[in-house]
Amino acid sequence: MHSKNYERWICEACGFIYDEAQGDPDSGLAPGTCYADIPEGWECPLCGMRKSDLRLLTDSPAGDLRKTEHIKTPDRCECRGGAEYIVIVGAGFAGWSVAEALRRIGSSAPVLLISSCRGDFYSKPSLSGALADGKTAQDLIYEDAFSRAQRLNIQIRTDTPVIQLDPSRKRLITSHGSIAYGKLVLALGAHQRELALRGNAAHNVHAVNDLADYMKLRQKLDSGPKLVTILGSGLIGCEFADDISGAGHAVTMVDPNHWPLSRLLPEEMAIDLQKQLNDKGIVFHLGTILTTLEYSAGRYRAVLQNGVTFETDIVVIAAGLIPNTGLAERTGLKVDKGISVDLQMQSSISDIYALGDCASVEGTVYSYIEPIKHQAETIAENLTGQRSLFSKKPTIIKVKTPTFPLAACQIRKTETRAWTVVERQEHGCRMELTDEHGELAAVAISGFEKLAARELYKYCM
Amino acid sequence: MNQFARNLMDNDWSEAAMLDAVSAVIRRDLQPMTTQIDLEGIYPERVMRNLGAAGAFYHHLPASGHVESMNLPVAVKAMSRVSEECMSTGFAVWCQDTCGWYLENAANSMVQEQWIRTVASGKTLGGTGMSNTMKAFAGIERLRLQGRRVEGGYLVNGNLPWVSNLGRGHVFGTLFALEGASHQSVMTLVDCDMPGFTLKQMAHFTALEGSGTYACIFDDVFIPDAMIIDENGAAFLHHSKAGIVLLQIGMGLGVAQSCIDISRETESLLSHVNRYLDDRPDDLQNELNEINEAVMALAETPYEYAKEYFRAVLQVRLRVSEITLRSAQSAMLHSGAKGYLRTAPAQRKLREAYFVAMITPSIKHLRKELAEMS
Repeated sequence: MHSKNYERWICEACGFIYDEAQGDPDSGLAPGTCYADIPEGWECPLCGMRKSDLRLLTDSPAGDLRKTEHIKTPDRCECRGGAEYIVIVGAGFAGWSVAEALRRIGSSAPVLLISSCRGDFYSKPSLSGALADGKTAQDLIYEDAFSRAQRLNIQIRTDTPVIQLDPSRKRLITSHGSIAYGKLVLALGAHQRELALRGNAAHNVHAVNDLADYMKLRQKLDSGPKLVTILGSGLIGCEFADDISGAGHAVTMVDPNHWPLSRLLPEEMAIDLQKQLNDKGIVFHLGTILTTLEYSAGRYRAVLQNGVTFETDIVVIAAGLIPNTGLAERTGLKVDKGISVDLQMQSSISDIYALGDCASVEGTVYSYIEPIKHQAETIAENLTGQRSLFSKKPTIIKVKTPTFPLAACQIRKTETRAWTVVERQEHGCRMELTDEHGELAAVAISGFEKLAARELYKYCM
Repeated sequence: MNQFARNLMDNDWSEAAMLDAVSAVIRRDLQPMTTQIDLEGIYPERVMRNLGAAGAFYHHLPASGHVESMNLPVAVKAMSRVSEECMSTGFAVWCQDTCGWYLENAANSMVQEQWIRTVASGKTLGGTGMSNTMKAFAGIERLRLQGRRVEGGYLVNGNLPWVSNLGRGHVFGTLFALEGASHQSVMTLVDCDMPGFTLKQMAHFTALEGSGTYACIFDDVFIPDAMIIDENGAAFLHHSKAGIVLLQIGMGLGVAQSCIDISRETESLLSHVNRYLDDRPDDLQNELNEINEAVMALAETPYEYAKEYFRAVLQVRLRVSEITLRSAQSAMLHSGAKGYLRTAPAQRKLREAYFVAMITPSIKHLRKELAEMS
């Protein structure tokens, strides 16, 4: 008996150790009873689990023992703001831009930036072009949050979601205590529209709305060629499709509209884009939606409304953004499409401003980099005692699909859809939309590569 | 006035009446037996029934028909009051509340209609066997129950180590993996009287012995379709998990508050020396008030979808664990020898506080999930 190498087994549920050398005399197992000889009816004396819940105890740890970079509860001495503080909520492009603009115009006011995530500074538009640029998700970080805060001489709180605003006492409630403000800037961003899907994998759709989401997507993409389904063929959907397909994955796009980029481009130009993407191997299912996503045997099965079914490894949603307004609504701030602000970017409650994807300036949400930069400057000037107004200039939208570069600009709103080709070149064309008064309402350019945007500037400015 | 404040005003009357009634049950029925529950492991069934009659279990369950709109914050408050006196009973309240929450969120109207009214009123007592599920979905362990589709229902096998607030005639919610279908799971209500189901009292714990905690053995238990809460377990958990975690917070808030009260009581005799301690009652109280505020705000919207929201829920849950441990340690140190007596509330609360930090989601589980979110 002593010559034998006894093994030790551990109960997965409670940690009880069954040592073969000692047995379990209380349950009638004599010392020396090997695992194989434990009767099936045996129960763990601590928790009632069975023989099959025991696993061999080895000396090696269950996982990586290196100290994990866990979320530590913040030091209670971290900045809690104050009446003299400009507090910015949100560390996306909009939030950081306000801090930068303040320092650029020479303000030395104390600033506290609060981020619900890590707050690192990166360019969000680059997410949908990173593969072609040969960049990892980590490469997209331009500057980490703490270095940037130090450089701008501002305070920062990361991993701190704001739970509630309390304008009557000028403070924010967070899971790490309350934070006082003198002036408050909301840069809360937007979230991906959630689709009502059926099936056991309905919740396994990737919404790629920030760097953390993108890192998770890349982990999957970087492990080998995949079948990728993209829901939505708008700007972000098309950019992701071109980028992901270029990296060797098989891409399928699903969209209820009848051509890609339907809100931005005339049908003719969109179909040119679709052809180019088709030639690259991208499959389109247009005029239909995904209804069911089932997972079995290591793969998803997608079922479309038109009856088509196919297998896929990854489903990415890019079906449009919805402004994050919940916090504002609960506080009683006026909200329309986003948090309502006037041209000074001031919300319906004094000393609270909003900008970027969460804000609606006189009824319009501006989601592109250029207007957000301008909004940040407007807020910074108003915060420092100047009176500054946001001017609604037309935004040039560049579609980063290297397969077929595009740019478009809406100059004024119109219901007409009568686009005309005004110039055709070898790789593309220029089209214009004229409104009911004969005024130029929109311009779109395709295939001009780097010249496209410059061409448009000539038109619009 | 913001929406949050308005909701509070609307609910003020019924909320205050319920909390008063709960306090009366605590004073009359629970207080006299707190020490006995702790030392002898008696399950306070009469207290639970009377708390149910006082309305402690239904303010977050509009589907029960007892209230018109959902008020999760007041469910947390009621649990917190009970836990201030005795967390073993506060834990039983959480089990009951959570069992009701599963029924509130049931996709199957049959199970909801049959059970929610009596669970909400405390006529049926119920528990939650979801620790394994929560850990499995966080990648910590595998699902322990397996179910096989049969005519009219499922045959379920496997064991759950510890499920609480159970006994003959009780029910509980749990989730099993569907055999032959990877990653598919089913959420169900289990009746402790079902054939093939056995409750076993195995180990004894350092506290909370009066919480009706048993090992659950499933031996070909037939679960009819009428007991299924949701055929899609993952979707169910996704929808209901914030509420599950938020409800639990009532236990910690109560224990932490009572520990601060114990520390404060010692002041008239010992403040000249207690002032050298860390975590003084006023400091802890300020911190606890802020956590309380955050919890109540989060509990207003338990179905919020944003990932920032669930991150805040987990962070607040983590902070509650941390402040409960610190408050309990502080109560011991402020009390001195008096707190070290076998029947002293301080030492009992120290043992209860560790439960708050260790019950799923434990501190380590929360830190893992939070780390993976960022």
